[in-house]
Amino acid sequence: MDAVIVVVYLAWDIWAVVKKSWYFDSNQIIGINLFSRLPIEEILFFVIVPLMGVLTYLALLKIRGWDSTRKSSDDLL
Amino acid sequence: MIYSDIALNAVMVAVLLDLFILGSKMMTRGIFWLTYGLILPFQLLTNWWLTSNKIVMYSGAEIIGRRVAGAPVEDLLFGFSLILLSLSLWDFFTSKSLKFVE
Repeated sequence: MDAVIVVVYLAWDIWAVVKKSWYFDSNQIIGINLFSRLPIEEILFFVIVPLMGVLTYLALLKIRGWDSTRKSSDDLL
Repeated sequence: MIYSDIALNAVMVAVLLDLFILGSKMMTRGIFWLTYGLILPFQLLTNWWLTSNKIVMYSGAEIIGRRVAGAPVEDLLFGFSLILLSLSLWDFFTSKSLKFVE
């Protein structure tokens, strides 16, 4: 799951950085870059955010006592 | 394509995958919106931090210009697609075998 996200979104990110859609303050990043362009922070971001998203989802399922394979009264359809 | 186009396309791809291709149908589930609602304030907080300290800067030609918590409004589309795609893929890879068991 995470691997798919990382590949797709990093490709978008690298492309955007190459054409300067967005750029980073070189004084405020670690300084290690992928392909000498993309800060390592961006790579970590795309690893951590999907993981945290899924953990949030699993934690909420647990707290609410829901089962992801069954319908719940809060579902829209 | 500029950031606005790609962000919009990312949302459409994520929605199509979720509803029709992966079969996860996350967007119809209450738990998905609860999860997104919990994540969104933290995205806004992070965006505000990253932009107000000028750690990340955006090219004016690439965005429509409206900003939310310091970051371009496109960032919300990007964030939504990222969360939706993550959870859809998670559901697809983990519960596929359970889906058709009645």
